[in-house]
Amino acid sequence: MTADKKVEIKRLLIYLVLSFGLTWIIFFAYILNGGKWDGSNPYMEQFVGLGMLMPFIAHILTRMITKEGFAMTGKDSIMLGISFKDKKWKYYLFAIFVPWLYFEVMHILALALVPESFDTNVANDIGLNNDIAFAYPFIVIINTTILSFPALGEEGGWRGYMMPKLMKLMSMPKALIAGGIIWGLWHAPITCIGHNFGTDYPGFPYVGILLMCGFCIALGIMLTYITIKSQSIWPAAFMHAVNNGNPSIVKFFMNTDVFEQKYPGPVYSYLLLLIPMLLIDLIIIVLEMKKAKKVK
Amino acid sequence: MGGLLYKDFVSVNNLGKFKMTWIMVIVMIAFITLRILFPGTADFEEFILIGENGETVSFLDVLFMMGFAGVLISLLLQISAGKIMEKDVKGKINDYISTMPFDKKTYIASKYIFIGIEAYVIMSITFILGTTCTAFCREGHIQDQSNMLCSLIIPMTGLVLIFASIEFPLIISLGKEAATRVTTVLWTIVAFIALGYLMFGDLKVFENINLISLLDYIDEHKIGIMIFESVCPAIVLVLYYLSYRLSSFLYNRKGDN
Repeated sequence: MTADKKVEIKRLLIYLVLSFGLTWIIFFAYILNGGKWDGSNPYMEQFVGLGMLMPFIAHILTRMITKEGFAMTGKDSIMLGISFKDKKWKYYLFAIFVPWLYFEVMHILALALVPESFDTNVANDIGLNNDIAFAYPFIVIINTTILSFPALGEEGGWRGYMMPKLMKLMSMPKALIAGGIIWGLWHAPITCIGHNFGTDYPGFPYVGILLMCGFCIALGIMLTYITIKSQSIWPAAFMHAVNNGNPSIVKFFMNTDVFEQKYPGPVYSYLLLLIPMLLIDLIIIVLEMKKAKKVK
Repeated sequence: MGGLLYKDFVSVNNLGKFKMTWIMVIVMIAFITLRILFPGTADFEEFILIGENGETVSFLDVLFMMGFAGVLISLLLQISAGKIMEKDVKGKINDYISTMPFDKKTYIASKYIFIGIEAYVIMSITFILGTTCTAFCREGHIQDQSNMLCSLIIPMTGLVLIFASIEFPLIISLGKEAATRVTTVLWTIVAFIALGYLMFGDLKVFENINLISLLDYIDEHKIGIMIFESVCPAIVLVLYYLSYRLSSFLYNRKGDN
């Protein structure tokens, strides 16, 4: 192993210890105080969600320790710059619209699996009307993009520091898988109290942790792709934020109670979500491999 | 562009011997720590109040909510087009602009981008403080009010950006002092109109306005308000961009004369 690689491993380990350490302090403080992730205390869940800022804080602290500097743009930088030159604007559009696409496909697949869950009264039941369903994705995209700083907190760490280090240490496919697994495991404490998948599924919480790792690999491929192409963490931050907002029109025409009678719990929805995500990942990989062959 | 932004950052960051960034970090850490140590659910008897309806209210929640409102307003007031333009005038930076390797449009763009970054950072900080304040409130109407205050962060930031959109072209075309006089005259006219209405107008419209009727109105027009809230940031950004185009035009013309 070269001396450079040893240095990069050391830096990565410092970052991971800080990132996991700082975030898990918040998560475990909540868990040990009897906290659950079941919507019963939404304000407290929102506060714990601020743990999303820790990866970026860990990134900054790591740079202070390793003395790597704080360049905003360029090689080995924090990648906080924004540039639309050389058609980089298309990665910003990818970031805000692709999550809408895969959430719509997920809900369409769910309706195809359980056609009786189609229901035009879903919006009315929550005090809205069907017109708002068509505006909902735009509302989510605008609101989440404006309040994207928690997502910036995560992406500033994972795509801003961890992925560049992993890509120096191993091949791209291995780096993408390792990055996704690390990111998924980072969520483990709150997955164990019901984050994303609830607590009522077979194999709880291990299946949830595995599924989270799979989800993080699938999403991580897209996030890493747009980060490398735009040379900025902002598209990844916007995409992460929009993804968390779950923009979809079709969900207002799907009765989740009926769906969950056949497929109980959110776990099955997430399995369906993986299908369009992995399809998009495959398209990205194939296109990039073709490009690489052309260059050779 | 990076250099211009860094110049503006250094000029607003320095408050005499103190750095604005450090003050904000200390205020954030202090607020969050104290809120966690003194939550509304704590049994400090001297801070518990019983309302008319028998509802238990923690005075700590009220204190922290007022503190959060104070921090929100004082941080938003830091976003000022006049402030960053004034620093350049005092430093006679305009004399050096024409020798720099960028055009006038880039210089104006840097001001707008800086204010935009400032607004984003302040919005993020106040959201963190608001989320913390609300999360540790005792369940009840104070917690709901704290949450409502959090929901005002985006519209208030939008309002500040609209003020900046009006200020920038005025400062560029008239200079800072003249622009301040113009905005003072405009606000005085608005105040006189409001005072005139309060003295001679029909005040019956205010009889039915109270918090309950406001909440009922919000509930009745939920969809419209939701759409308005979402469209507002886009409208603000369009106005902000149009202001930038006007400022660039005025600054270019100023240099040609």
